[in-house]
Amino acid sequence: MRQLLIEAARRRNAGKRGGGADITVNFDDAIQGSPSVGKDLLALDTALDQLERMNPRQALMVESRYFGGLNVAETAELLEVSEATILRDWRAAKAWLAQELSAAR
Amino acid sequence: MDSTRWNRIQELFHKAADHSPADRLALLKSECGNDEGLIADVMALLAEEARGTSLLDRDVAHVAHEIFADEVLPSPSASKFGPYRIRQKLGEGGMGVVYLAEREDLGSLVAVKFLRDAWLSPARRERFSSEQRTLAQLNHPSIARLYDADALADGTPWFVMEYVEGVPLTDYCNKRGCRIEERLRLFLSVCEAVQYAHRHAVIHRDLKPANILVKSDATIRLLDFGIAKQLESLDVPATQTRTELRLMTPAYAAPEQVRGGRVGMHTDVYSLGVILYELLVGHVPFDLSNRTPAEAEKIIVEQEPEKPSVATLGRDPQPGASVGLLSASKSSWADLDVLCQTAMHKDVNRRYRSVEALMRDVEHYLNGQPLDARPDTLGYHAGKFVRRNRRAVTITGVVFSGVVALVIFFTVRLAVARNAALAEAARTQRIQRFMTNLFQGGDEAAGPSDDLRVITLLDRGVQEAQSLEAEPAVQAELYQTLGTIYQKLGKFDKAESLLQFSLEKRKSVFGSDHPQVAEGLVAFGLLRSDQAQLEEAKKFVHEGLEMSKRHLPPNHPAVARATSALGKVFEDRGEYPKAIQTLEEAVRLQTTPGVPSSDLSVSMSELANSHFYAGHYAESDSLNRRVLEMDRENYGPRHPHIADDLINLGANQYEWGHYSEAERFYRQALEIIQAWYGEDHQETASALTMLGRALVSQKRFDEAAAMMNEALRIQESVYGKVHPRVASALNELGKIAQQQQKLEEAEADFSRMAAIYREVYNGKHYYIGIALANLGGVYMEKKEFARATKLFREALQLYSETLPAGHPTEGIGRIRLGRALLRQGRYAEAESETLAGYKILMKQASPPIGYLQNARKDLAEEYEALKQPENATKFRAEYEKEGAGSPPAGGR
Repeated sequence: MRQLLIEAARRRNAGKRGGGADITVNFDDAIQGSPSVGKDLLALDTALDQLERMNPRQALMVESRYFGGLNVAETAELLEVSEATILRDWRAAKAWLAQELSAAR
Repeated sequence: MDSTRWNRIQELFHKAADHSPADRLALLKSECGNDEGLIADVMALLAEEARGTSLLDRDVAHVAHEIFADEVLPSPSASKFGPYRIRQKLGEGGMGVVYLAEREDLGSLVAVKFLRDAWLSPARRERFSSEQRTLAQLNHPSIARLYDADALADGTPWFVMEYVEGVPLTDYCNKRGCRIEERLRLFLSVCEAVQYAHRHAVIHRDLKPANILVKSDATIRLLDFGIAKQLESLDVPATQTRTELRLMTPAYAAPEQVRGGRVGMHTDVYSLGVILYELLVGHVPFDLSNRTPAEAEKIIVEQEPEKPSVATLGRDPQPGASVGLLSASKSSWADLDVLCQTAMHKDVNRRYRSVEALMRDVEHYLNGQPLDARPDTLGYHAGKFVRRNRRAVTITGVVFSGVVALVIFFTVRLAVARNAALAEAARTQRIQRFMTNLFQGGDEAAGPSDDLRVITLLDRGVQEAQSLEAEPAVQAELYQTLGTIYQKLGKFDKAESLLQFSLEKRKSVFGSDHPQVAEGLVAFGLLRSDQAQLEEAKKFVHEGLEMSKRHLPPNHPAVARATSALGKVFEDRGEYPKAIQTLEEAVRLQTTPGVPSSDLSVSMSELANSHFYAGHYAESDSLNRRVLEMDRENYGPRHPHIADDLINLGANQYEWGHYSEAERFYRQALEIIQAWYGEDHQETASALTMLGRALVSQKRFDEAAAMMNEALRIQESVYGKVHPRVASALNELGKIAQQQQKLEEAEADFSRMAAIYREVYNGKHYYIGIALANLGGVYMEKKEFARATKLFREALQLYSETLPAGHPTEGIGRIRLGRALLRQGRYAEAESETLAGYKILMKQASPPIGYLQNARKDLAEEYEALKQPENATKFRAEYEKEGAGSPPAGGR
């Protein structure tokens, strides 16, 4: 799931960068501000790779929860740790990832 | 940042977070001492958390929705459109404009059609896209593929379709002055495509020569299939009430279409009738140019067309148009009149009931047999009656169609009620089928649309999943389908996590003992099998099968599928007797009415493979022939499944040493595969590889080498340098090099082949043995017999670990080892190996003659040396009886 979303975001982004004058940006685009979602997603991908080097379990946890749609209990079971650990890890990882994301903007 | 530091930061972060913001800095200072950087990092994290708005706070489904669904698309006038670059306008007409576009990432060409005057309201989007799914499933060589469809942000609908270069059917026939038979044959292939679509419940509704193109290789392609139907889901200006008619070319429209009546397969039959008429006569039955829509309607509904025989009479054949047509005899024309009249009958009930019925009569005509719709049948007289009493019949017709409408109304209501009861099950299955079909349209590898389909699928998958959050059972289904698709794409890690989620979800919804869980277990087991974790594979599938059996009747399709899966796992484990027994059971379960014959053909094909691997070539051959027949029935003659079956048949012939027969099958398969996947595709490469094999065995080295090098190039670019398919190509190249006495080259090829197989199969597979034995063959040529002996022994060791005893491959291995020993003068050892190999091969129903002859020759020599002249004479006689001209066997 992560891979596919990221690939789509990447393609989208490439289209935006390379397109230049060819692209007609329409009204919907302007109000939704969706291009930043694509960009955020790419930044998240990079940050997750880095988190994986820092703490692989934490990165897997983010991936399962965020991209895999697992809830806390399911993630805890999958990673064989307590729910409290998941919540702690999630909190720190989220703050750190958010920081990386805003740095990439 | 390294992990130690990160863990330290986290620790401090949690500690500080427990304190009030005012106390945090002091706490950190006391914890960190002078490490200002550390303090700053932790404070930054705390600040970030306080802001609390990041991507991660948003539901990924919504993010996905934005990424995929609201993809910002340029207006048609822009030169770029999603992944496409628009090159030029191909045409404009009706409501739409068509552009030729190129997929930038793949370089393939597609046609993009925008419907300018229509728009899609959000409310209708769902219906529009569900229609599109159906259309995307149409997968027939004569039907232009629909790759994607949606609407621009402003609601303008668009379609991405296969780009077809060709000329309209009628122009093609006229320009080439085709004879009547040629025209009818082309017409039959059009009918075949329409019939295929009808079997998938898709009606074209706008058949006309402009939508039927003939390509330069004389094959046809039907365009715009079902798109007219899709337009119904569009909003159109209130002034344009009869959308369909406005979009259609009235000349080919059926009376019920222009009257706004019920449209069905019979509508396409009518349009086909008009096309047939035009093909025979040179013009359409009614001249509607310069008519108002109301006049046109009246003509179509009321006026009888001139018979084709009359219409061509006394008319100067148009240059090139009707030339050659007039050669048909008078009685032939009478039949052609009946064909057209029956296909174009104004009364639906008197028309050919189906495209198939129409095709049958065209074939009857071509074979000089009497038509089913003969003039003396009721329909003919009834037609005359209609003309005489038109008014009366029209009134009855109205009453009759009123009754039909009522019946339909109640049928639909019943269906709705029943569906409500089955809602969840039906929905689940629908989603799964839809998604799997999206991929299986032409396999995961089906060319340019591949990538696009992944996106389409995910887009819809995510949306579906989103709407199904309250239905974990359906969500589990979705995960399983996605997982299976990843598995097919070879992405086992992703497949594993999805299939695992799915299985866990099912367990939590249904409890741990339930048919749904059983299905999940089987799916997971099959993944394990693909991951070569064969012990677990067996465990999961077995558990799933037992669970299904506990809950379902023994002949339930799910039980049969699980049985078939278990057989497949046994096959993958190389336990062929068990595989055969289990698959025979699956075949037995599936040979009952109600089980789709596609399920049966899958099991039977696996059974054929198991027999093949077990060396039972005759059984394998006869099963494969049945599979081929079934698949032709199910998929038509030019589907990749047919190519697979042909390849299996070829492999049997090859093992029997019937190389030219094998070549014949492989060439048929190659032709289908090239047409389907294109020249530069991995499937094409592997077909080239197999054909190369057959050519090598016939000593046609130059042809073979060209094919093999091409195959190797494609394989390496698709799979990378380490892959079984690359190894397979190297094997053939090695053999060719060896035959041409390029021994260094051969040595390098076989060594690389062995290394690849070792890496891929983790040192345990008889393929490694074959690679080593072939390398041994090179050392035999170089007269390095001791080295060869060592390799042959290693190969035999691998065979004994991974193949059932007495496998023909082992027999061949022993004969080769025997020869290596013989060349070293180790006659006694040589005799025991050669004889063992010989005995194994003699047990085969149809042993490879070349190796047998080698064995006989060597045995004669060995017994000579061992002073057993009687035995020597016996084998020499056998050798000569078989014919010394038999080709000596080379490598495998």
